[in-house]
Amino acid sequence: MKSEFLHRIFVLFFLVTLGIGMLHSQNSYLLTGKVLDAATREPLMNAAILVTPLQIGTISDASGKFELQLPKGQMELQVSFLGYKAVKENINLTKNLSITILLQPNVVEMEGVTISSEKPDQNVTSIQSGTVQLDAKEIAQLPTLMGEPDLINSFRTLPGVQGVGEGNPGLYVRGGDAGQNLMLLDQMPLYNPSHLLGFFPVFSTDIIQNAKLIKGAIPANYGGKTSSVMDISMKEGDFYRFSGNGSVGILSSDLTIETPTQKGKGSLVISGRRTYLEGIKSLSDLIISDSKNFFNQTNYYFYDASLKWVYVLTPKTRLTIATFGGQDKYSLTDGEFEVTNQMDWINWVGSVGIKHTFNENLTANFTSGFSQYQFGIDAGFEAYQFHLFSGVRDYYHRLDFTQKLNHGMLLKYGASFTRHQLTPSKVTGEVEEVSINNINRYYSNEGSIYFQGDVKASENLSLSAGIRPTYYQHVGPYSHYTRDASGLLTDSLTYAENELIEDFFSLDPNLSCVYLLNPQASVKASASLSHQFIHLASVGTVSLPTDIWMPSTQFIKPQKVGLATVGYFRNFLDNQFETSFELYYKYLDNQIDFLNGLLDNFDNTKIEQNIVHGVGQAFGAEIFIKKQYGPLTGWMSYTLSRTLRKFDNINNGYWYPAKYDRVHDFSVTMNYQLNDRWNLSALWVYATGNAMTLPAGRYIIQGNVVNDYTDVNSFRMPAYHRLDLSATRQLKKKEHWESDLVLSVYNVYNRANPYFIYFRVKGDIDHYYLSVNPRQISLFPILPAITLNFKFY
Amino acid sequence: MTMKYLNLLAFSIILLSSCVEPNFEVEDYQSQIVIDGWIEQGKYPQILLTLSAPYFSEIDSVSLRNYSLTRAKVSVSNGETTEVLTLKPNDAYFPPYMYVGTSLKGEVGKSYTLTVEYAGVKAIATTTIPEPVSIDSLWFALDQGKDSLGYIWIQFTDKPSRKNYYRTLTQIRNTDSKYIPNYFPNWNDDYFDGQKVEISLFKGNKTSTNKTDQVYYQVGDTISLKFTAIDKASYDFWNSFQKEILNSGNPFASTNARVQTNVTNGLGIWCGYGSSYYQVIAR
Repeated sequence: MKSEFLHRIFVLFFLVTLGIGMLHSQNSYLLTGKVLDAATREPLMNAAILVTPLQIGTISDASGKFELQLPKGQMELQVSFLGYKAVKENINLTKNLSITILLQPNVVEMEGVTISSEKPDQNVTSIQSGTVQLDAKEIAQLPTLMGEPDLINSFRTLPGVQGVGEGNPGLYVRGGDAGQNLMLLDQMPLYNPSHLLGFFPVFSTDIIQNAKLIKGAIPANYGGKTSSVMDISMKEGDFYRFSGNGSVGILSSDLTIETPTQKGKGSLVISGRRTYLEGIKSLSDLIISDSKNFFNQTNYYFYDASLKWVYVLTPKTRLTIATFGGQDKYSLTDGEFEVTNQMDWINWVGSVGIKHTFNENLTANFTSGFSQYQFGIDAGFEAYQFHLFSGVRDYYHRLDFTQKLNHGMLLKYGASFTRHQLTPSKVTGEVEEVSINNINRYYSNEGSIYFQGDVKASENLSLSAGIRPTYYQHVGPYSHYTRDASGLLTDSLTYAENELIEDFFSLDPNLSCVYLLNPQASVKASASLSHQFIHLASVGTVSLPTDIWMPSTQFIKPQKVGLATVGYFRNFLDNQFETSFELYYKYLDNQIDFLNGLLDNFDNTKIEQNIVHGVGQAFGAEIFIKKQYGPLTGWMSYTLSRTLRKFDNINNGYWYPAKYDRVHDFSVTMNYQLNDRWNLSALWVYATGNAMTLPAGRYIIQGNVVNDYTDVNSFRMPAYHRLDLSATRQLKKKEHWESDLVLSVYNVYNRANPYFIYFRVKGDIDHYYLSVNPRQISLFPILPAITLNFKFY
Repeated sequence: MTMKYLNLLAFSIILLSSCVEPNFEVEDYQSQIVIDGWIEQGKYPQILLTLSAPYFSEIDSVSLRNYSLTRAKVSVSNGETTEVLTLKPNDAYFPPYMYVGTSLKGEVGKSYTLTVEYAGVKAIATTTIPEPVSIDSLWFALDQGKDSLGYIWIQFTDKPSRKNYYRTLTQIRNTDSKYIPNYFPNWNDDYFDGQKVEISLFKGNKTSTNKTDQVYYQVGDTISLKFTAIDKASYDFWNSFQKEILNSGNPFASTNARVQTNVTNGLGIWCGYGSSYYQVIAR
């Protein structure tokens, strides 16, 4: 009986809504449209649409789309976008209308123009300092590594964003570690995406529409990580035309196909990529002698693929299904030092989403998805053999609203829920016939709601403020031992599935503001407090992507990070040059580290009982200069910074530099359109070497050699610097076919940048002989490559 | 036209960046007194003294001997009496000289302070001799699938409501010139407090630079077992020492943890052993 009553209420509600809708639509109609580049059919974001004589306007979104609720009748639509010829169209609105506007590039005005997805004065006017946005065209013009533009590596050329060097694709943003970056691909979180130790781009840029990096105060709609957000949008296919593009290189090939699934209603983008090491091997044989050739002893391949399907269910509702996944397999043998190493990484994310536009002021998005990451190592070093498996699996749901209010106010609010399953380590091993078997698995729930508002407080002052409360629980199944003060075992507890073990509540506020001094200059400041419940713990001193993800438990507290920034932003020569000078200070609490390393689990203790907590401080000054227009474009960034840590059990409780403390970090990237056929680009990076702990002395106990270490991380590896060059030649355009040839050289002057340094002790005390050899291993020597890029339509 | 030229120039400047050869810079290292000493109940104290050497120094027979410390003033005190120890040659150890006592013997439950004076530095360490724990039974058992190789097994009862630390060493007659610690010789009663415990002991390596592949004892060996109780400071040293030996040179290991020491103004260990001796023949 109750269900029938509810059913009646629902039908009534539905009818009422429909009725109101019908009433409403009698006097005005919905005009939806898409602004595209006439030649490539690529959507143009932030194109200006103005309806006269009504003087109602809007700008196109990331997929080139716009919507306007307009009254019935005759009107003129003016669509314009920088670098393109403006278009005027007359329309007579008598019903809901959907149009496509194609804009022709304005070739005559400027040569080699870089179309930016940002407004020309974004550097000065945007509220969020520390946010950089790149669209598909800009990404394609990035310095190419082995013929492929690399999005994540390009972020490294920005101030405040540092990489470790080769071997680890992690980004260190303003003193935060690699685990504090939220990387989203169409809102799907990616945990440790990388290919060949960061050498290959994480994704083919052919599938990327645009990418945004936030390194300042993180807006409340993002949560879970404390240092940065990389919000990357996958390309949506054209609803009308079929096209494809791809590249063939000596190292890898990829292909992307875009096709409408029902003309005007849906589109599908499918992409795939694979690499083959044979190319590297034969090339390296020509250049490097066998004994120094790292590649002689390695075997490697990876593949990745993606799919995105967008379908318009109704003019106001669209469905999106997206997925991305890949696998890397890598092996290394060094016979001389008896090292064998086999690693594989698997990433897989997927989501289903529905976006509904209630009206021109309110949109909602509901998404459900999952993210999976795992890696496995099979390693051997002399008599040690060990196998390590580590993985993360997330299931999430989120609901997001974007609402425009009066006076240009923008409000974003919503909720999200994630279920985490982590297996930080499953270690099995043999050390001289002693075997170890240790499995750690954790389950947790994380739920948040958020509010973020952007408001123009006065003519010159704009603010963005938000809050994000989060509730986190660690739940069973789980078991552990409890001890009393003197360390005696007193109890062992087992928790059932979903039984609450520990919970935490956090509140993340953020505030950013921009004060316009004049149209060419502004001052920006921000402050934020953020928490993180899933942590990346470093394993060992070697910079391998073998760090593991750990949840917060009763032994591991949530990280707490406070950030304050202030900066001066100035554009020159009518926005041709963007410059900024920014200072930041970050305080990090509840940072974790392993005291004894992962291999200490011989006595079967839980990982979290090996973890120690400490604090960190990071501060720095960033200088950035960018030239946006002209045949020569590019940017230069310099960061002067320190990143320090303090743990009671490490370095006797004194402050010490973090492993990735890079005092100087400098990079300059240039792109030069020589003529309409040739394009050249160059990249030069310089960074202070990584910090490491070096044994200062040696002594002998019971006939065994023991190392006497200096202060933690007091030794600096040699500085890292490298030059990359590439040249692109446009080949003859044919009907339905375009192609270009890219010649690129990585590490032009063949610098042996140290990857890791370790020490081999040889000798025999009984025969009174002992010698120590430092061994520096460098990863990538000079590497030339040729790639053919093509496009068909 | 000029613009284009300037652009090309800017481009070529980048091209002419110079190459630099990497090299290491190591600071001056200050040698420290290293103590490798022990005292047992009913026995005289025995101490090996060396100096620590800079890491990159290559060592041969001449320079290695330079690191043995033979001119220090070494004394042991039990709180009431102090004895200055004498240097005696002993080929079984490195360095082949040992400071030994001749009058003061170790006693269960007592504390002993060691003082080493050399070149104006006074290195001091204190240790205690805990009460020895006796083994209920011990035997040799072949490992699965092996016909002549196996382990020594011991069974003992841990004392409840007290933190106990153990260290085991074995000496194979006619093979070993002294007691050698087992592979994983250190135990604490975290997982077996107050309980009856059965553990297997693996044969240890003589030195870390001369690793043999054998952790087994062989049928026919006559093995003397020294089963000792040690205090917390000694256990912390031996446990961290063992980790360092195992992990040294392994790029997957962390170097955050250091070898501990219970010596002030020096490095190393001054260890009190509450020992029980046993013998087993592998059959």
